[in-house]
Amino acid sequence: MPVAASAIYFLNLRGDVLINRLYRDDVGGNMVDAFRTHIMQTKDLGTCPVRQIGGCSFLYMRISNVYIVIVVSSNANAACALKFVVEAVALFKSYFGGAFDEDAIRNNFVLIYELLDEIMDFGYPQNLSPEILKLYITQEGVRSPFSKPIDTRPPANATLQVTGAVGWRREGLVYKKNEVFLDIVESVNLLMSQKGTILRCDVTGKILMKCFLSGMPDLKLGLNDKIGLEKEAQVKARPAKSGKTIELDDVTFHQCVNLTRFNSEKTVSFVPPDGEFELMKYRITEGINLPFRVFPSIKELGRTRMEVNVKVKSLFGSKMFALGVVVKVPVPKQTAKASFQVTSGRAKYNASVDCLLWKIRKFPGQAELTMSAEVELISTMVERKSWTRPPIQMEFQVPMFTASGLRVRFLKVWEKSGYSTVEWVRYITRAGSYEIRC
Amino acid sequence: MNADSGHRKGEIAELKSQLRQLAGSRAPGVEEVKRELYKKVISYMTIGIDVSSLFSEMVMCSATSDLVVKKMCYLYVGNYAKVHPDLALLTINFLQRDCQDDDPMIRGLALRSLCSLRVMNFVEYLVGSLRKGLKDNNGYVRQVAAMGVLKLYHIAPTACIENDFVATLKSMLSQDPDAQVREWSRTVCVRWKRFWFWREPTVTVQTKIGRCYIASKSIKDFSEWAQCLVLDMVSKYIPVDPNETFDIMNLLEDRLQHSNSAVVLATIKVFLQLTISMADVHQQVYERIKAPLLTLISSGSPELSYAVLSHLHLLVMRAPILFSSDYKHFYCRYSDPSYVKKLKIEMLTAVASESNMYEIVTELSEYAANVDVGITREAIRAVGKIALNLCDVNAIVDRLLQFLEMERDYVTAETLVLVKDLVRKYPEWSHDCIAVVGNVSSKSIQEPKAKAALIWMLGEYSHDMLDAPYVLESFVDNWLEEDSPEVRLELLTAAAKIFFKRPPESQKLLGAALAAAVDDPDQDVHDKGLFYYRLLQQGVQTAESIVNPPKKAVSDFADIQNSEMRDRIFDEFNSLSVIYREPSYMFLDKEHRKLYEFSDEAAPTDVLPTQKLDANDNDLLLGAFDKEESQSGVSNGDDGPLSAPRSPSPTLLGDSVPPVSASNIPAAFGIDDLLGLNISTPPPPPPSLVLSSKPVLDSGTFQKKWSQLPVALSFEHPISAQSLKTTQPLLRHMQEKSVQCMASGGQSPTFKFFFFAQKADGMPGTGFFLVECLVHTSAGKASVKVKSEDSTFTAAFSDLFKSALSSFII
Repeated sequence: MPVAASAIYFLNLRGDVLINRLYRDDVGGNMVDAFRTHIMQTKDLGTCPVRQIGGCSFLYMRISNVYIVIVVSSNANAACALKFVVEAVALFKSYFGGAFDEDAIRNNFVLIYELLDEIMDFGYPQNLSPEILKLYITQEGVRSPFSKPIDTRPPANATLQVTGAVGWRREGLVYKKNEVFLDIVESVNLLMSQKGTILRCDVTGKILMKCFLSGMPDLKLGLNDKIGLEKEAQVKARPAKSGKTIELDDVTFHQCVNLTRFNSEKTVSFVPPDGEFELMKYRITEGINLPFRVFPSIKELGRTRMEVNVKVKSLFGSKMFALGVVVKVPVPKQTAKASFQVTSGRAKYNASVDCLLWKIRKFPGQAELTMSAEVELISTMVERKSWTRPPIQMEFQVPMFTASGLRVRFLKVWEKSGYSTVEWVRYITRAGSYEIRC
Repeated sequence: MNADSGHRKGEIAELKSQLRQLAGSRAPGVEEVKRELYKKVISYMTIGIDVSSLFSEMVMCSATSDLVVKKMCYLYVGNYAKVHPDLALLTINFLQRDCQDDDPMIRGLALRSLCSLRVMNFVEYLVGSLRKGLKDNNGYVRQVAAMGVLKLYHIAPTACIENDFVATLKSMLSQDPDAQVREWSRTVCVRWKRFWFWREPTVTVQTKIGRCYIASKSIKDFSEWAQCLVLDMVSKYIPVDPNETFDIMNLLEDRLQHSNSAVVLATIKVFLQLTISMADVHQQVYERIKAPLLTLISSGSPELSYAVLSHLHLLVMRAPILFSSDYKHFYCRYSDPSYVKKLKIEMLTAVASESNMYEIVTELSEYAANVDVGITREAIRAVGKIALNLCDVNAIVDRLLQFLEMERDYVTAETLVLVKDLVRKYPEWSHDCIAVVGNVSSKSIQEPKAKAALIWMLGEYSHDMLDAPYVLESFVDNWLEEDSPEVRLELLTAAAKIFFKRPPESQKLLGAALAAAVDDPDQDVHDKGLFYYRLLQQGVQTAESIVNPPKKAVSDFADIQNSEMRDRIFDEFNSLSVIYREPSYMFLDKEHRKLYEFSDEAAPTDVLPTQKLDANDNDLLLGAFDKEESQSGVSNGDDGPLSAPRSPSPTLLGDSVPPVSASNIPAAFGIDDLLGLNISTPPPPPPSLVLSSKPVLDSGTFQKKWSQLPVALSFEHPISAQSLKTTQPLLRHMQEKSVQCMASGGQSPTFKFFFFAQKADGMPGTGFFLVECLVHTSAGKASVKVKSEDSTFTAAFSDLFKSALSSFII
């Protein structure tokens, strides 16, 4: 079953309709009411993003203060419909300059109607690529921060692009300076037990590209992943260079990547879209270098006092440093105040999230910082409910470090005019859900 | 409110006059004013104010060169055409004119809007524009036109056939001059999928297969969304031989690396469906798709991971061992929304095996300390389920008992229910469990299920719990405050059981319980009270042998969902069925749906056709049966054959019936007899079956019925068809036997047929038999699956079918 959406609604948190577009006649008109009474007004809002009311299924997602609801009356492909919403939101964001909320929708509702007209016809998803749509949906709202279309060609050619073979790139782009920016962004997910054993650890990484290249360039990317290197060694009939190789658990690519060539030659080759896009995503579970280790100790001293000691150790190279490090130590609701001693950074108690927040702007590599805090609790008359200790969470960014050890070995650009390009490569590792139970 | 609507009316009237002024104006700047006015109208329309009264003005102003204004106008017309078909007629003219515009953008937009009007009367206008659109020199317009044919098909299928649009589309699909057919040959494919059932007689399955093959070869030329559709189609294809299966899979393997999760899932579906009959390859497919699926759950929005997890859950249920080493992927994150957490916990339960059980239970125990009450309960239940499924429960029992010491009401309640099930399955653990259960304060338990569980354990293990009679006594004292009949029933049984074991302490207790039960407002409790009373009159020994016979440990608790159901959901992989965990007919068909509708919505008043009602009842019964089994199961062991008193039986309780002495009740059978349950009547002999010679069934209905009905019968039958080269001979042969063919295909040595037949005396549209028949000519046998709308005739029909097959000689 395809998606076959019968209607799509954009609602605000009160349930007012911001946008509605009916694609088929097989659903009644009171769908919004049904959604409001049966989904929005029930307490268990977080139960499930796919719900059935009457004969219709509602697939919905909340993004900032807007609900996007797809109504289907058949046994639709749910994953596809939800993916469509995700992609559509990305599209709207790129049109509105990053924001997607009630105001943005109200200010651009004509534009949204125009887009809805193009991205879905009769309930089937169509082309959602911002690059192409921006060629012919040209309202004032258009803002393309990455590419300034140098040639403004008549829309007659734009329609060709809709059906074109390289759907993600238009022809005739010219840049004075040809540049490629490559960002390798990894997020580390960690779940550690009280005793310091790693329960679960994985890295999800993505390679983001920003291309300002003329013409129709062919790009080839080499990474230090194991399979790719082995294949290369085979082809060139020489032993693989020693050094760290990475085993990727799974890789997915942007639609521009020639998957057949990846499967046969294990090289990532592609004709990139113009501007910014996500080239590939990968997942790694083995051989991960954790950037930080946390050693917490939380003691409850009687009914009104707690002693919190947290030691954080950075494990990356001493020449590197982490930025924006935040350690969140949860405390009970009835916390009155807390006094701190830190070896670096600043700590405070934040009552709105029931956490002690310890912020370190710049955390050097191979270092060990500690925070100790005394927490005073309000003594309550009623028996205190035993406090379920949520995990300590960490936020950080470590530039020039990859938890997986992934490195770009080369990036080759080939275009028939033979221009030279400048390539920029950056690495950054962020905290995904970095949780330490305490 | 009144003032408000008056105000609105005023505004609309003003808009009307403004639009009227603009209509003929060519003054500079008029386009900007128009745009603003149109915006206002559209925003009114969006928030639900009826602005249809502006229709003629809107149409009058539609002559404009501003594309945005045009689009708003199309939107407006599309919205109100359905309600005002007469007014919409006004727009046809300008839409048709726009279809001739020089700008392909406008041509496409106009054609799309024209097709979207969905008004029956417009079909004649539509056809001409569509035909032109299909031959347009611009790909965009052709794409819109292709989609238009689909829309036309939905409002007027005959018009589609009369104008031979399908043939046009088909030729476009294979030989479009435009090299870039990607985007819109997709749309053709959509249509093609929709249409293939009614085109079946003319286009044999063979060519359809060819197409599938071609489609998968050129899949890279489609956009990602189109790929989903194509893949969905390929998944329905039955390959001729294993080589073809491998060819297709090799072609599609790289799709698993696609960044669009929808494409990946669609590919997975193809792999699973293609290999479904090749067990070992199927297992390899699971291995192959594991990594991509695990990636999908950890990336993207929680809603998407929910959808993917639902699919993964289905797969895990089919192959738990395969995923048992990946259990860590299902550990919950603190920030996961609870619907994701819940699914992950279910997944952990499913993959638990001897090797990873300890880790999983440890992790689940962490969740039991979670703040979210719902998740805590799920986690505890999961621990219990794992305990019931695996043999080595040593560590788990300790965990469960630790939960009881957490002293949180809902944790205790949930755990008690589980401990009860546990001791029923593993009586050897009862001593340890009861020791801890005895310390639970009965005051802290509020939930009926937990209370019932505790009371059951008090009754069952009263010899191990010294204070059992006194705890029960306090329960009986509060009989009137006890709201749940379930608890009261349990209390009565427990009182009786404890009386058999410790009569001196509990005689008073039983007396009080019986007295309270007989006065109980609930019919079941009342009946059970009287029943026990009369039973006790027959002597304590007799009563004990019935109320509390020696029990065997329960070996297996009934599975919530039977495997046939799961298979049917699996057939509908990558759809809502997987998320709802029920086959699509359960939530799409009206007659089933009412079960799932909200209670405040009125039940349908129309009388259901008996046929459907039967199926419905069966489902209901099935559901009730499952519940009974999986639920507390309290009645299961205690009452033995006596579960009958729950349904009131007038024969026993009527005063006129003389008391029956105990000696007259030798066996359970006697009781059944006594209760008026006439189980000995043999089933009526199967009625004879005459098939209608000219059954009428269109392919759409066939498809629908096929997906709804369960397989009533499947068998293999020898057939002498070694020299069968085409499907025709068998078709003609079966036709003579009043069995019609719906679709057929395949190549020697394997053919596939879909047959149908109808009962001669049945009402039109009912009494159909649907048959899927796979003929292996080399093996000389046919595998047959029969689905029947009238189950009483299934056997008769299959005999008929068998004899028809046997008499086939080529």
